[in-house]
Parts: sequence; structure tokens; C-alpha cells
Amino acid sequence: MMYHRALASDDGGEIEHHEEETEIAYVVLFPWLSVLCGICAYYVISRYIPGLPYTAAMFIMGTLIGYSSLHFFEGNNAIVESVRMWIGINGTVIILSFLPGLLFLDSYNFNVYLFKQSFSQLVAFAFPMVLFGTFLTALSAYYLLPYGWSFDLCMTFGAILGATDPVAVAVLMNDLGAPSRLKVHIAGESLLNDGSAMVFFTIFSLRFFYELGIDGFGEDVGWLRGFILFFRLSFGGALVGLAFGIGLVFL
Amino acid sequence: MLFLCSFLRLFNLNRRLSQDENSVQVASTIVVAYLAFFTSEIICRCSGVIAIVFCGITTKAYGEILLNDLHLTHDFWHITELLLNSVLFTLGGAVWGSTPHFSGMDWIYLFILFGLLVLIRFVLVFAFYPITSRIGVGQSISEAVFMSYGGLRGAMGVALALLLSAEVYNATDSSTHISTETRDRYREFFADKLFGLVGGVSFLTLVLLGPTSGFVLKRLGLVTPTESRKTIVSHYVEHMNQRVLLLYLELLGQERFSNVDFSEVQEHVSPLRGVTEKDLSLAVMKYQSMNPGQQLPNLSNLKRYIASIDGSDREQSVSLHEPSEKRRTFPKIVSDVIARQRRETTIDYNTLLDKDAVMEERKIFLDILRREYTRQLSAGELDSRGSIPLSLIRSLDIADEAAAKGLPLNDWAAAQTFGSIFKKGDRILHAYRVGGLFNRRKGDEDFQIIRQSVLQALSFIKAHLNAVEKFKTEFSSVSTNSLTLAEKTVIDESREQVSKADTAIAAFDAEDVQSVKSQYVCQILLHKSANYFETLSANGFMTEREANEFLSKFDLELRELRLKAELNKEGWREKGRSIRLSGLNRIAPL
Repeated sequence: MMYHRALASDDGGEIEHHEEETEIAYVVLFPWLSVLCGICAYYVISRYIPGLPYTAAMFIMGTLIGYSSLHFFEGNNAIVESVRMWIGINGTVIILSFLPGLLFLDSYNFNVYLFKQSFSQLVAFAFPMVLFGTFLTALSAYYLLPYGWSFDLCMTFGAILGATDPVAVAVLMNDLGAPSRLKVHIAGESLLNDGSAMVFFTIFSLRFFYELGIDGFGEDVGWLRGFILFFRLSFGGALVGLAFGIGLVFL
Repeated sequence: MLFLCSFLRLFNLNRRLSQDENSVQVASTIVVAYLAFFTSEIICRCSGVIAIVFCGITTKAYGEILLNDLHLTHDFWHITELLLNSVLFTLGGAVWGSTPHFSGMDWIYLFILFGLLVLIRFVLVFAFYPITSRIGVGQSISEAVFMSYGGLRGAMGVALALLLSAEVYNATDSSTHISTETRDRYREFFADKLFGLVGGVSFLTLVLLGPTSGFVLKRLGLVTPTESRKTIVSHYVEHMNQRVLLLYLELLGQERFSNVDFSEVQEHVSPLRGVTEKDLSLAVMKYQSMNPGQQLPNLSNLKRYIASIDGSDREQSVSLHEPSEKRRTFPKIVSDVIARQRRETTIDYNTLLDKDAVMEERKIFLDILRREYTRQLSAGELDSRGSIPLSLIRSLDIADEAAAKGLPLNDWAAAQTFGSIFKKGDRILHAYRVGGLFNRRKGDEDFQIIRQSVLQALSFIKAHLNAVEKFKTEFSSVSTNSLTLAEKTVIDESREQVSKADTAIAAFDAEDVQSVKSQYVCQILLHKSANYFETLSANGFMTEREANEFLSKFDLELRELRLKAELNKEGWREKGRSIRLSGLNRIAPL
């Protein structure tokens, strides 16, 4: 299996490229190593740090794994090889493998009646608010960060940070018995703004890749094309989802 | 694709009683979820996320009632979500940890950016508040504040940042027109720095805002229980206390627990601490209606410890020793009792003893016993963290093998053999529970061995008695209302096993047995109390927070009970070790 990810070596931060054939079977190791870490993390959190969200603990675990695989281990250690393979995994594969499994249950658990009742609010939270938020975040990044980012990359960055995650709060609200209206707003906003963030991400990342000037990557998306793309991505996605949902039930 | 999808339809997978078909239904939901995302994202070039949201909501709206096994579907997706979250966040952390170009000033920018993002979130929510509070289902100021504070960044942000980072690496790898310096610069500033910031923001929101959200929610008064809610919960507590008291009466009604001391039970089981005479009268009435014709257990020990009520109430209360005539003469219940008694005594002597039939009946009986042990485990009657359930369930494997050869039931001897094998494991477990090898005392350890033996015998007897009852009422012929010779043979074999276990208990010091029985009763009652709130919470009648208050209390009481049970060595030295342990020699494997 080939993987292409720059990793700094210990001596002087020089970039070293790993492009070598490694044992493909190692790829299986990382997910189960993650789950094993998850089990340990769950045990510690549930007994000693009940306030810490599970996902935050997993992120810490991952950071330790990533850092140690970069700085402390060399050679053909199976765990390190597996981690390196996953670090260099194709982004589209990540999206296609993870998001359906993570979002379906949240969508399925939604109170359909309240979803219909609050749909106008959720759309307001998800689309204009995310776009406005993307813009404000992009402005902050553009003027604050000294990395020479173009405004399109800043907008892409803003879109990425526009998506909210209800998992930790949703569990908390269920535990504490928060009002249904609040639960619907938080969960509904999160679900729909995941979608809108993805739409804005797609549009602005196309513009950003176009700026890089690499053949086959990106597109110069103008205002008109942007609007068309926005409606195609959002309405098209909704139609495909409805079609599959109805197909599963009735057709 | 859609045509193929139609074959997965839930409507036609309608054999609700088929476990395989229920699993296929769940599989169809996951296939459709992933195909919807793939079709939208890759084939139609639309948003996969929006597709999955609408697919999920449509499935819920029209397919919920068509799902044969809702629990299976929910559990499957819940586990899937747990696994995917574990891998995604570990991967996100691993990429973040291995990002080579994130250090020094980047951390300062990260913290400033995080502060700005929190501020932007508040600005956004309140900028839209005039609109969002007037449309849909409305919104209050407190809810808007919490929504601003609780807008965490998580899975989606990490996934998109991973996507962008990987795409930058992929793009710069595949291009032959850009120089190495340009490629490195792109990777450092457009992939690594960006991912470092997104990962950092996600991490900070999860670590700082996540744990404090509960406090904010409470401070905003969004989860304050009303007075009427408090009253409802107090009614739940009253019902739970009543149920636990009723269960205690039922346990007292069993011969093996008839002499359990109420003061010891009260000490460990908090729901029984405030029992009044009126509560007891109500429990007695329920007990009599549930067990018509049965003699009331001896309550003299219990009555000494219960709180008195005023004179008028006492007059209204039902006599504790006189069973209610009205309940006792209820015709349907009485006929059931007569039917049970007839099954107990009537044997169909016209049926010849058939060895094959006996073998089949033994197999059924052993299956019932297996289910009974599983029930004891899930009800908390058997402690799953010990060797007792292991030895009892393994004993059934031996008994199964013997039954297949036509030999009579011998699971008591097999349980003893396995009990001896697991004894070392028990010692290690005991040392762990009492806080290590240096805290372990000989007296505690010896009492623990006796305790294990008595508990094993108690579980064994309970399982056999229940299995015999079930065997007689559910597996014998309904029409003839009598037992075949094969059935009678198996029941007799079971009784012989029970008498061996009884003999084993009788071999121990009565005081020790009494102590173990009391603790066993406490364990059952505490599990029953916890189970009541678990059921209320699972059915949505209580919030998890309300239920958790009681559950954590019972969990603590159970742990204290277990520790105390293992440390119980009162009076050990007075009677002498050899006398107390002598019972063990008498129940050695036969």
C-alpha cells in the first residue's frame, strides 16, 4: 500500500517522504487500536472524569498516538505503520466511510413532528447563519493569521468551523431533561448545518484549489456558478435523501 | 441504484418473528444510508450530508412502525456511531499530533481564534434572534444563550479538515509543475496549519465548553424541575419502596430465607429503612392477592423494627396474620392453585418409562436451568464478578453430556468440581477487592470461601426450584393436567440434587449461613430497587439525571454491601476456624 504523507524526522525537522511498500494487513490494526483506546478512555472517564466528553478523550489519545509515532518510534513497527497508513488516507474515503454512520442515527432519532414545526427556524440557523458565520470566521482568520491564506481558503476554513456537533451536548440535554424545543434546535441546527457547511466547503475549496494552479484540481466558481452549485448541492442532496428514504420504506 | 434499493424495502420484510429477517432489516438501513450518501456525493455531485439527513428523517417518518425490532436497529446504529466516533477522533488526534508545522506562535493564534469563534457564535445567534424567536416553535433568550454556548465543533469539522488536508497533499503530490519549495510551503501553510487550528478548536470546544455546558444549562434555569415533577418522582420512590417490601415478603415466604434478620437487611437496603405499619399492611394485602392460599411468612422479626403509625391508621390496617378472605376465595386463582397441586401429585401411571423420553425431558430441563441462571445473573441475584455463575453454568455442560449418555442429573457434583477449580481465582479476586495482598486477612478469606459455597448452593436450589415449577406448568401436557413418568423422573432427580445442596448448606455453621443469606437478600432487594428506576428511565418516564441520582445511590450501596460481605468475620475467632471450615469437607466433590 502506498501512502503519501510528509513526516518530519527527529534531526532538524527535515521533511522526509515515506513512499514504500508496506504490509497491507497493517491497515486493519488502527481502527481496533482506536476502539481499544476508546474502551480504556471510557473506563477512566466514567469513573474519574465524568465531565470530559468521550470524543475529546479520543482526540487526546489520537494526539498521543500521532505524536509518539512521529517522534519515538522508527522502523517497521506494525502499530506505527498502521497509524501512518491511516494518517495518509484519502480524504474522500474518510468522508464516505464515516459520515453516513455518524449522521444517520442522529437524523433517525429526530422528532419528525417538531422537525416540520421548526423547519423554518432550522433553515435559518443552517444556511444564512452558517454563511454569515463562515464570513465572520474567514475575516478573523484573514486578518489574524500570518500564514498568507487567500480569502477563499479563509472561507473554506470558516465553512469547516461552521459545522456544530451536538453529540456531547445532546447527551447532556437528555441526561438533564432539557426542554424538547431546545433539543430540537440544537440537534436540528447541527444536522442541517453539517449539510450547509459541507456545501460552502465544497464551493470555496474548489475556488481555493483553482488558485493553487494545479491541473485537474479546483474550479473558478463565480457568483452564478456558486448559486447554481449551492442549489444543486443542497436541493439535490435533499431529493436524493428523500428518494432513498422513501425507497427503503415503500418502493 | 434506486431500483436496487427498492428491494431492500422495509415494508416487505414483514416476518416480525424471524430473527434473521429483523437483522436483514437493520442491514437494509445501513446499506441505504451509505448508498444514499455515495449516490448523492459521488454520482449526483450533490451534498451527501443533506441526503443522509433527509434519508434518516424520511425513514423515521414512514418506516419506524415497519421496523420489526426497534431495539436491535437502535442498538446497532448506536454501536456503529461509537465505533466510528472512536476511530475518527483518534485519527483526527493522530493527524493533529503528527502535524509537523504547528508550534510556538500557532498556539497563541489558536487561543485567540478560539475566543473569537465563541464571540462570533454569540453574535450570530443573537443577530438572528429577532427572526428565530418569531418563526417556527419560537425561542427564548435563555435558549439562545445556551445555543450560543453549546455550539460545539466536532466530528464534521475534523472530517472536513482531514479531507482538505489530504486533498492538498494529494494535489501537490500529483503535480509535476510546482517546485519542491512551493509544494512544502503549500503543505505547511494550507494543510498542516489549517488542520492544526481546526483540530485545536475542536479539542478546546470539547474540553472547555463541553464539560461546562451542564452548569450553564442549570444556571439558565432550563432544567429546573417543577414542584409537580418533584411530586411525580416522589410517587415513583413510594412505588419502588412498596415493590421492594413486597419482594422482601416473597423472599421471607421462601423457606431458605424465612429466618433472615430484618435489622441487617434494613441496614443495607435504604428503601426498607422508613417502612411503616401501613406500608407493611399494603404489602401484605398485595402479597396475599398474588399468592392466594399461601401461608403468610413469619413477620414477627420485621414488625419489631417498623415505624408505628397513629391509632386510626392502625385500626384501618389489615391484620398481618389474617389473610384476606376476599382475595383468597377468588375463583380463578384458586383453580390455578388446585391445578398446580394436581400436577404436583398426579402421575399418569399408564405411560411407560421410555428412556428416550427421559433423555429428552432431561435436556429440556437443563435448558430451563441454563435460562434460569441467566435470569439470576441479569436480575443481580448472582454476582457476575465471581466464580459462582461460571461453575454453575459449566456444571450444566457436564450434566448435558451425562444426560446425552442416559445418565441422571448430576449438576450439583459438577458444580462442586468447578467450584474447586475456580477457588484460586476467587482468592485473587478477594485480594483485589479488599485492596491488595497486604490488606487480605486469613479470617476474611476463609469466610469468603464459606460465603461462596453457601451462595452457590442457594443459587443452585433457587434455579432448580424455579426450573421444576416452569417444567411442570409450561412443558407438561395442558389437556391431561398430569405428569408423564419421564417428567416425574426428571423432577425427582432434580429434587435429589436440591437435597444435596440443602445438606451442603446445613453442614455450615448456622450463624455464618444466616449472615450470608441476609447479604444475599440485600443484594436481591437492591438490584430490584435499581431495576425499577432503570425501567422507568428506559421507558422515558424519568430523565436520565433523575434516574441516575437513585441508580448511583444503589450502586454505592451494592458496592459497600459486597465489601462488607467479604470482610465479615465477626465471631470467627470465638468459634474456631476448623469448626467453621469443616462444612467444606462435607460438600467436597462427589
